[in-house]
Amino acid sequence: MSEPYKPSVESFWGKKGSRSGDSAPSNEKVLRRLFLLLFSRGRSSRGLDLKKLRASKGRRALGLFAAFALFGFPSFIAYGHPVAYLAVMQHAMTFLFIGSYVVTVASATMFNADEADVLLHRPVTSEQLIRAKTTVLAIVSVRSALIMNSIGLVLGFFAPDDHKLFWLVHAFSSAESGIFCAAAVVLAYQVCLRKVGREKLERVMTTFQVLIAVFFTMGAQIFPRLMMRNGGWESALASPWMKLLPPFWFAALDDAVDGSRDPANWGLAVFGIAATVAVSWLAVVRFSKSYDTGMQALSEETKSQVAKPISKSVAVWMKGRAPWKWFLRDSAAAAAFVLVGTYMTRDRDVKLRLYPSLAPSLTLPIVMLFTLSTSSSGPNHPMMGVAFVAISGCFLASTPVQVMMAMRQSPQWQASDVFMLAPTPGPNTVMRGHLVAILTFICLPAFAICLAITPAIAGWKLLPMMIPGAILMPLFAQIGALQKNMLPISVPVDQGASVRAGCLISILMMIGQMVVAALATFAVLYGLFYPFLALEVVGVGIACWMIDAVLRQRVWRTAD
Amino acid sequence: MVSVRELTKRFGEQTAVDGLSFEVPAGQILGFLGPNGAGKTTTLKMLTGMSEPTSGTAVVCGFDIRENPIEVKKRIGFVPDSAAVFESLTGLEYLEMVAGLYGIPEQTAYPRIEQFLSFFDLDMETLRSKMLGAYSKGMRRKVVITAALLHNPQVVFFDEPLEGLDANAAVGFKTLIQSLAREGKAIVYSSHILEVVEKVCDRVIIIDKGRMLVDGPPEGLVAEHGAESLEALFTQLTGGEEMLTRAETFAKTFAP
Repeated sequence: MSEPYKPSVESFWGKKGSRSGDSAPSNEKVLRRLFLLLFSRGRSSRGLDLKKLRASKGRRALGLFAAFALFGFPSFIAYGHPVAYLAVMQHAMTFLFIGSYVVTVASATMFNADEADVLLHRPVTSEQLIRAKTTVLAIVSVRSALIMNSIGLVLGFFAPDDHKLFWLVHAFSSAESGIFCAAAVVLAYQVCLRKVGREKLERVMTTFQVLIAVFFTMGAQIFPRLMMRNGGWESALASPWMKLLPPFWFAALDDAVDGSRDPANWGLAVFGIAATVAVSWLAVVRFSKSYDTGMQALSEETKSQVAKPISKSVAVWMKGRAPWKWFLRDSAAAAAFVLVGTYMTRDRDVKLRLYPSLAPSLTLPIVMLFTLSTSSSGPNHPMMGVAFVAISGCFLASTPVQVMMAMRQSPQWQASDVFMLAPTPGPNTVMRGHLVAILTFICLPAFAICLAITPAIAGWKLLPMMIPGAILMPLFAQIGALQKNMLPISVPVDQGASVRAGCLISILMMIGQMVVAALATFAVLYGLFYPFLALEVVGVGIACWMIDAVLRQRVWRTAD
Repeated sequence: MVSVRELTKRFGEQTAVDGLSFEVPAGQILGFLGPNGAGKTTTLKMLTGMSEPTSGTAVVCGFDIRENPIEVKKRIGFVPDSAAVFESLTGLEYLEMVAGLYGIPEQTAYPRIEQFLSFFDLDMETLRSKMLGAYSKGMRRKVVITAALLHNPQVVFFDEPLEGLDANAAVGFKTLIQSLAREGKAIVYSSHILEVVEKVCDRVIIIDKGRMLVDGPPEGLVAEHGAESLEALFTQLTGGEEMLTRAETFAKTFAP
């Protein structure tokens, strides 16, 4: 050994100066530090050293801060409105965004398969584990809630009348809302664990997470519209039904302390605090035993899978039949098609990443179509309807890229070496199989659902407005394939660099979608819709052909 | 130190471990052998409190694993075959975290970590600055073994501990577990490397399909069954001879 021992910078015995040396911290403290560290660094390090990691951590924290602050921007709608309106808007957005964020991160924090081998044979109880994890989730949730509400805290000063204390009360209620979100998510998982048992756990948890993600996404779309319908926000706030929703409980505290100071709101505010305490108690005390069941289930996952015969993947049946066999003539493409198709339906990790991430883009077009049917501007403003349907169609065009982004990350990323070992000159054939699988299993069914509901909501006349989006889809898929590291299951989970690349692609695609939807709308206005479609087909065809030529030239990069 | 009675584990209709009974006294190294899927890892997971037995009892260091799992866990060390670690911690952070979980104070933990670093010839700079995800397989295994022995356990369970270790480290490790046994620790050693088991272990248990096939000292079992070596005995008992014939037939399919 060349060097003497020095404790690590982020020592588990506490910070420098506060360490006593002759006593050890409690297990729970150690676990809390561990999970906070894992949360901030991600679960896989990809060979980073500490110095690089600190820089990457800083970038990641800044990115998250910017993202949450951005989500807080809709608060400006409430500028100059009374505190009640501002508070409800803020808490509704916090509940929906932070809730969906916690659902996403809670899965990795609560149910990590590797963790069983590291921690389950150590002297820690399931109660200590769940308390430490819930605390970490609550810390993360409260921090995010405060960042998201930072704009709202300032806006409180501009509310009518004198509201000097609003920032303080709202900071407290935002933290309360953050704790409620974290505890509610943990409780929901615990109830699932208790009710379904080990055998069905994996399937039920995945379905549950997907449904929650869809719920939060649809909620974020529908809630502001609900607030503005049928007599505006005043009647929405007065509705007894709305008071059943948690954001109203937290907003009631703001309004009772430094808003209208209506004594009637105190009841709702106290109920909100009581609900937060009750949900937290149920999650970390009452149901903590069920967590043991869940951790053991993960530890025994492979064994129980052996016991249950797995049905043949539908992708295997498809690959030899028309029209798939026309696109999958190359055996490597067919193999990639089967692999991706199987992972989409079978792999827990892929399912948890893929379907919640798709929820926004798959539900947005549907929400937009419904908005069209319920909006007063619908039938009376035909061009508005045309634009709405065109935008809905174009939204769906970006789903292939989103699927690619979600499918490339996996804890089994090292297995993707098999693609390089196969006798293929480059990644093009594998990518082709990947794209066919994405279009077959996700994009075309989603498009078919939208096509089916469009006539019912917007009428048959507007159905052709979905076509520009359909034409755009293969081009976007090809653009996605052009990006680096887009092979399926080939990138470690928590790859930081992908976030930036993903954001850039998403922004560019969003601009492209809006431009095509706008052009399609103008084409209808000037009676040139079908010539526009012809032009779009030719343009997309040429672009796809050019991108395909580039993709064919690609060779495998060497491992170094 | 370890007393197992009719230990059984079922996953649905599949029985992974079927009524295993054995004892491991202090100072003994028990070789726990079996073909893939025989139930070795499941047994070790039950004995370390990671998995709940369907029926039967296991008493480790005087504590029932079902009634007092935490007391058992305080007294055991386990090296799982997966060598799973938290990849985004440095090696040093990982060892400090483990020391913290066993309630080892900083002043006691530091010299102990130093001793292990010295024994395994681990590079301090790498251990302090690199994440575990960047470690070689062997280095990661050394960290996992250190983490299992850091709290000076009375019973140690090893599941394929030599995987990834180079020849020198493997020799050092064999000497280490023999020394640990001499100090009075009970050691359960599960491995597919039968030559090592034959040299290191005082006693061997071979299981297949969750059931115990034989139990005794390696040389005694070899002599009793008229086998040439422990490997030959293992093959004879677990259907490996059939595998030899199959391998020969299969190899012929590669002929041009």
